[in-house]
Amino acid sequence: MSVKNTIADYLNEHSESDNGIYELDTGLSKSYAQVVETANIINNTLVIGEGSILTVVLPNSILYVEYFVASMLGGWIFNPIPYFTQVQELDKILSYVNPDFIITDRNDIIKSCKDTHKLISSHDYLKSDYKKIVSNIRSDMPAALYYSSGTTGNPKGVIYTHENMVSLIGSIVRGFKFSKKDRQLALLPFGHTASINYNILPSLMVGCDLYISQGFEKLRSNFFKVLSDYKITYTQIVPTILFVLNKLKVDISKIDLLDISFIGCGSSTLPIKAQDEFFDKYNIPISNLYGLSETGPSHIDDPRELGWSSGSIGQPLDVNECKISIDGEILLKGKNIFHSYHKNKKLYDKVVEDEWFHTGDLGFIKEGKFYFSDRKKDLIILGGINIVPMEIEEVLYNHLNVLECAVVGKKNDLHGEEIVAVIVPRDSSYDQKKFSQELKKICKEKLSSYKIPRIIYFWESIPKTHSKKIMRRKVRDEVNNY
Amino acid sequence: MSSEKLLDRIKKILSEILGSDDIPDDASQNDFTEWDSLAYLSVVAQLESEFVIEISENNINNFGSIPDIIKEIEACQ
Repeated sequence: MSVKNTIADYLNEHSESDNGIYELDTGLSKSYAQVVETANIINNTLVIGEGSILTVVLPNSILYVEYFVASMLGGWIFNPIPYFTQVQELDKILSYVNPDFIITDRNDIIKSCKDTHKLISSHDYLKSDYKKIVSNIRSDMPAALYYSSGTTGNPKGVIYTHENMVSLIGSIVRGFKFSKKDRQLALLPFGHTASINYNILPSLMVGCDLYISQGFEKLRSNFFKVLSDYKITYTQIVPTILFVLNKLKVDISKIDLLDISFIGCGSSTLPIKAQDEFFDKYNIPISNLYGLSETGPSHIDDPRELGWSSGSIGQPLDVNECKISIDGEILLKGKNIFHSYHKNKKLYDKVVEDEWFHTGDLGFIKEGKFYFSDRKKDLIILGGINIVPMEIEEVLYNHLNVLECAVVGKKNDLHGEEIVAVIVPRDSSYDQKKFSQELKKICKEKLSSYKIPRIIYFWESIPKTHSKKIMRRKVRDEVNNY
Repeated sequence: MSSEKLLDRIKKILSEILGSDDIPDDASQNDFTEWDSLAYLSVVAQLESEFVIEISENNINNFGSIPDIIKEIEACQ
């Protein structure tokens, strides 16, 4: 048996299979043999050396997966960025990541980056003929750089090696009991790690059918019909989608939903009430997903287990151990723990101690099951997307009348949290309505739309510690009781 | 409910969700980058809470502009 160092090595074993990838929105489909062939052509066409960083800003598509596989074959570092990231924000990411190549089909990005970066048109690979690549990628080589804004406002890039990736995905396949017979539906944005880790890579590893949608907005009116028509066995959503599905009036009495054993739901806190309501309404259990960019999914909450009940994040996947520290933090240790942070060894040393990764999340164990209870970090999670308050505060300080500010999350039934900015004005006589409009305008120019504060409060002061540090947790509590 | 009052209530919802005080009477998704897929779900959920309307697979895609929202609300009354 040949040595398999990368997910592409596993995929090669399925090149004789009839299974493949299907785009629901366009009708396009390709077998895995064709996907591997295109990935080889991409490699033959593009002159990209091992270890080069390839930033990818593409919509959910087969082509996206083909570039991912090409990246594995070529030993490139795959750097996925959410497709709808605003250009100004992307500039900031690119100056940190410093990619060797960018691939995108977005004209605004092409226009903005054409003089500063090497750009690849998404269909450049068509220029070459097929020639099989002899791939000799070692397991300790970096496979991906997952960008995140970081918890302190400083960007961070999580470097994941092929060993990290193969260990994690193998464990997910075992934990979730994925097999070649599955039919996965991927609808969350591919620029985030959730789709990559739960849908794309497990499908490539086991060679099961993978159905792709460009987003939930394309499935709002026929989500359950799609599950039924394509006999989907696994998909995943975020709590915001779950809440809307719970509100939806839909007749599923004539729809066969027997193939789907459960739906995964994660990326932000999942209320038990919503989890149970969905099961009562559709008779499909919701599995509570937990994980971070640095580790990938770390637990399996398997509704197929005897005596299963909603609420917990289940048991650790076999790739890692999990324990709760004395101060209640969730700690993880295993081959899924990331290799390093891009250009930031100091931060890595701070969060990984004796091989234990400190998640910054609080949790507890009850009756042998793990529970997530709160974040120790200051992140705001809106509709499953992590938002760093400091990034928004930095932008707000561009207004001359902002003396102090603090951005926090306020509980929101639909999105989990919404963004609130608390401002202490220099000149309190300044018209508040006009001030709010100006602050939102500044944010709109510099940030992606979902990061613009929805609510702005004007306070006389912001609570601080003796060392003058903002007491963010106290601000958050006050805002939530406002 | 008068059509002016209905319009005002819808504009108030959109103003809160989109974070903008300037919502024209015929506002649509094409006019606001903030009215993305997440905001769309917020608008639908908020309308469902405030008005006597039923969100179904048949009408869930019909809430992308103020004129369309008014049509849906009126159809449910």
